[in-house]
Amino acid sequence: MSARRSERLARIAHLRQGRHVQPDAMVEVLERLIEAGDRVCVEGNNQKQADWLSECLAHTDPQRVHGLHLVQSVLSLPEHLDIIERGQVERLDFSFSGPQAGRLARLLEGGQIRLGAIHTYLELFARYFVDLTPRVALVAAQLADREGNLYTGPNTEDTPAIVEATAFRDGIVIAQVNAVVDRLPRIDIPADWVHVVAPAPRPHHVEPLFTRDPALITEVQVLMAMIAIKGLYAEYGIRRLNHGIGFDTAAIELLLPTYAESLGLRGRICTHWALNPHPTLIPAIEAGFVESVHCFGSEVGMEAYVAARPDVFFLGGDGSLRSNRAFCQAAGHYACDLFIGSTLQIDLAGNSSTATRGRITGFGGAPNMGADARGRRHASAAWLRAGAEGRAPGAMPRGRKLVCQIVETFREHMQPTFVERLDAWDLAEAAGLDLPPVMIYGEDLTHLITEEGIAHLCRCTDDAEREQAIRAVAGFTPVGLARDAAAVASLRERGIVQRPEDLGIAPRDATRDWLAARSIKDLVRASGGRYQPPPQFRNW
Amino acid sequence: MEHFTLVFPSRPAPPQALQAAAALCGVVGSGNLEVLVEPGGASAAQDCCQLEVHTAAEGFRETWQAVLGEFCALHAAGGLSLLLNDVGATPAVVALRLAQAYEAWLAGPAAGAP
Amino acid sequence: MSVRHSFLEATARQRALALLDPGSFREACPPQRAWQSPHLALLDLPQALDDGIVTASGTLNGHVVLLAAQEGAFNGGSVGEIHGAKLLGLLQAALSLRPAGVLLLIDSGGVRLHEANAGILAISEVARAVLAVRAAGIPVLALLGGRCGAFGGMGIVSCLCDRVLMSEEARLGLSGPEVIETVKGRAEFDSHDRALVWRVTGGKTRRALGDAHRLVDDAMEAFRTAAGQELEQLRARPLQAPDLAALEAQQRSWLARHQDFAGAQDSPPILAARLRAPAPADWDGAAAFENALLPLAPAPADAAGVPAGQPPLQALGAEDQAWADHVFGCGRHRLAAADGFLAGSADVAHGRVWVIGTRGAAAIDAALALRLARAVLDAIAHDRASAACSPLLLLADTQGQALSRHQELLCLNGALAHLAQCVDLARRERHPLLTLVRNQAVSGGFLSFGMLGDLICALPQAEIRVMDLRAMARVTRIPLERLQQLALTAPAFAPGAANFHSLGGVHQLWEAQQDWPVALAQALAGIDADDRRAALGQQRGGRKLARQVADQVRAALGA
Repeated sequence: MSARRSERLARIAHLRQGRHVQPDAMVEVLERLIEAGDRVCVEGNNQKQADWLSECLAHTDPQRVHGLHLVQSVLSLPEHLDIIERGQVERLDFSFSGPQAGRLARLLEGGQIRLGAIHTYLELFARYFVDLTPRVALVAAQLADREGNLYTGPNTEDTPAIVEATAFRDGIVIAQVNAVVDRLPRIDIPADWVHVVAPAPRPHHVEPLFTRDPALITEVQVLMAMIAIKGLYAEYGIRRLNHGIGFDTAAIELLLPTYAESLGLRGRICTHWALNPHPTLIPAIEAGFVESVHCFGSEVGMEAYVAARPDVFFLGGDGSLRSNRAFCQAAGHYACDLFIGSTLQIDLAGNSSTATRGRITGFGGAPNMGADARGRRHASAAWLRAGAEGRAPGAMPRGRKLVCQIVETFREHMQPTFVERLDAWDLAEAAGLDLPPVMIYGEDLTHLITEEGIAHLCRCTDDAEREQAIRAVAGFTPVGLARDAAAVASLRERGIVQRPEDLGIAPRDATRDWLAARSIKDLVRASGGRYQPPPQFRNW
Repeated sequence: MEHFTLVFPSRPAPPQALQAAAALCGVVGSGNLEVLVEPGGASAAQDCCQLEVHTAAEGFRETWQAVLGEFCALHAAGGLSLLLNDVGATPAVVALRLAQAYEAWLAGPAAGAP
Repeated sequence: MSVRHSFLEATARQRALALLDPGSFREACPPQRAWQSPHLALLDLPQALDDGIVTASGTLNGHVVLLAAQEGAFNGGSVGEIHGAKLLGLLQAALSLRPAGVLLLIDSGGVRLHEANAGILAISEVARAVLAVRAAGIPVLALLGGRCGAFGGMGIVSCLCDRVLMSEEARLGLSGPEVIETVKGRAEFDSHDRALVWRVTGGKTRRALGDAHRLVDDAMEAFRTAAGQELEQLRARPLQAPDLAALEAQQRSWLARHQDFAGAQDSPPILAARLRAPAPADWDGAAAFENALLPLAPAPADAAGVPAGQPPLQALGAEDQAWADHVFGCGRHRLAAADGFLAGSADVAHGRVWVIGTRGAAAIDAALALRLARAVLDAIAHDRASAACSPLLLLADTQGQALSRHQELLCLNGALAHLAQCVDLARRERHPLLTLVRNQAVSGGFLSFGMLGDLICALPQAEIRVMDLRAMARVTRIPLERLQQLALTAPAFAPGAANFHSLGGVHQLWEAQQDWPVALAQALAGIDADDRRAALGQQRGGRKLARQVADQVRAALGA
């Protein structure tokens, strides 16, 4: 039976002034507060990181702090794995590991840790309120005031979900802040929910993960973007959507003010988004395509631009963005008609995965976004149309979410995207996972876009037809070359497979001239000078 | 590097265009290739197209067969000789450059090249 | 919305077409198998049908121009034997065709490592040819707007042009940030910090310092307009090849730059200074600073030694003394040294020679380059006063250019180009130029000084190279063993004076047992101010293509 919060806090009474502690006392604070076997959450996702608290945890004495059960979104810092290697962690439940994927795979295969499960963000947040509630949560905020109220600023992200679960079930919330001030611009987390606050020696890290340099978008990606806009967005009249983070979808964003405009689609597609403030969305916003954007997190350098568009973004009273990963994931799952993203491998059933041998990367939000929301009951034209297609006459009418993978048939180094068998199977075997880590299941996939064209999988009547539709757009990969020419011809006649020319698109017209911005500098110009790209994206 | 020459049947190229000089498209850079189109070549037959391939990506002979074969089937390239210097372009890029080079050649030298 | 055609994104061929009047583009030596690099084939690497450069004639606003465009996507726009020879042929053609201008669309990291010796020689020939074209009153414009920018030897060549037109996205420098980071560490220059990289070498800083004469938007039309306007202005007010007064002024302005921005590591002070009033052209402080920087300025004095009022250089150390005795004979030289610098005069059979050079494998930074330039200018001025025209003996002993962020920020390649212009002035004033390669002669340091000699002699200990095989193996990812094997028969890339000799880049190889004072006298008697190195390379069999290719390009252009 672990100690109550009040008992634990009493152990650090001598170190606390109100809710504040000195930064150099943090390791001792953790050693005194955390008990063996505690569930601990270190806040972090693919954007912001409670990196200093993570370092402090890694400096605790393994004699005092051990047997932990980590329950956190992301294991992407080296320190996250250091504490596992030092034997302080017994069990792990997480979502995403990114750069530490290889190391994590070795630790799991070496039996140094037991894995609960690999979750999606939304599932993990959900389990915080059921059976994985943190005893101690280490979170990051921009500012705190003397009382201990927190200002998370534009990068609110996971903080409310973690703090709510921890604080209201007798847990302890510890926050690192970039600075302590007298008055906060706004209060994102009330002091009442926070138990320990300390200023970190340096601002917490934020990764500019959603910045895609338009200069790196290829002609082939422009072609696929044209296919997506004309063959999918216009076809279904998609207004509520979420995009992945790849260059393929960045190309779509940059073609809205040019190509989509030329097709008369402004106001008819892409009006409402669940999306981070992608810099590549700036030209579409400025062109009047976009009515609203709700964000999972923020994006480095977009602060001033976002603040200047209160008509589009969700802003606090201080004028800066309020993001919220949990709400935005829910919005992406239930309120969007389309998810489109990229992947590394797709099999003949349309299952897709980013898993490769020897790396356990986990998931972000794509599986929630890229899945039919079976619980959805409200209708929209796009959702109804997708649901009606491929449904037997007379069956109960029901809508369907549009889920599209947009991929080139070959990745770099001529690795075929289309495969007979996903690497995810081998990975699951090697690491002893319950399930092969599939990002998007074939049964949820309604569309597939490659440079060869679009496959309307939701229009197929059976699995054999689906397989041929996938092969039809698999180009010169072995999977593609094994297609049945007659079957493919029939699919094309019936509009289930459309090549670019069937949509009136000539591949040689797919030039970078269509991009509304061709460089980061163009994005700065489009933003009226408000977007301030991080140094690594500047060439001036 | 892998070097090979393939010959595929193809409809004869338009006779007036066969007077045109060579045309070049693309550049020899990572993930890209250049394609030179010229009339004549070793095959010289009016119903065949000869393609000489120099590629930095080894072991994709069958993929080249498929991509180049499709180009020759779709375009009237009989009597033409093509030279490809490739640095690991994907089939999509290869097909695009082939089409661009062919069109540039049809348009004649004044049209310029991408 | 209107479409802007980016210069940065375009290929060399697209840039060439867009720069010239529609329909006027005539490519000299269009792409074909013959232009592919045999050196790349030897290493089993991809070749290009134009070896990465387009050479063409055409018109710009109705005026005939010659144009070369480097393809940055092909091996970083690097200069190999054929690539360089095409550029050389174009410049040679300009001398007889006398176009309204020569446009060099430079997009290059410099020498192609796979054929480094042939490449650096070609750049050296190009540098001399650019100066010759300018001296003939034909404007040469450098247009920098590509991803590779202009680095290495092409960074120097850019600064030799009459005008540099540059986009903010382009870069102009000598050593790439990756090289500096590798050798000097990340603290010196973090090559991953893109904003820093551009602040140090990008168009804005170059414009602020005056190394670029115009900042151009990254658009084809903007480059075309700017080039047209520059040529128009140069027609109205033609530039003269820089004379002694002009180079003295240039020297002062380089000294002023290094005084104003001493120790600068980043661009803000430079940009701030630019925003304030520009410094007056006849800046008084220059002379004082020159003395501070160069307390040991060589004494281009008469046989007696140093003029009054100038501090003397230190006497030579024992090793230098012995060496000088060996070359000139005991008591026949009056030389002095300071760190990497060595200068003075010596007696040879026909009279006096000025001796100017580097020692102790010096890394050439701007201070050393300006000091060498000072000595060259002094020699010219001195001989003018006494109606003499003594030979200049250029001593090469350098490990290459100094690698530092500060030096790059202040455009070391520009300082080296200034030095090259001073040496070229000596040539134009009919001073015979003889180079002695004493020890090391490496890359940029050799290119901007020793390689400018009319006649280049390598002493037995000379080590001439662009890059050693180990470093080359690392960069090219070709196994060292394979490179060593190929080096036995491939003079185009393997280090060594003998290889440069067979390529025509070194005229004579001196041997230890020779009587060097006699060899020196004979060499001075045989000096020819025309650059015939390509022909020599062909004759010796080390560079079979350069001359022939240059001739073909010239012929194709109708010269």
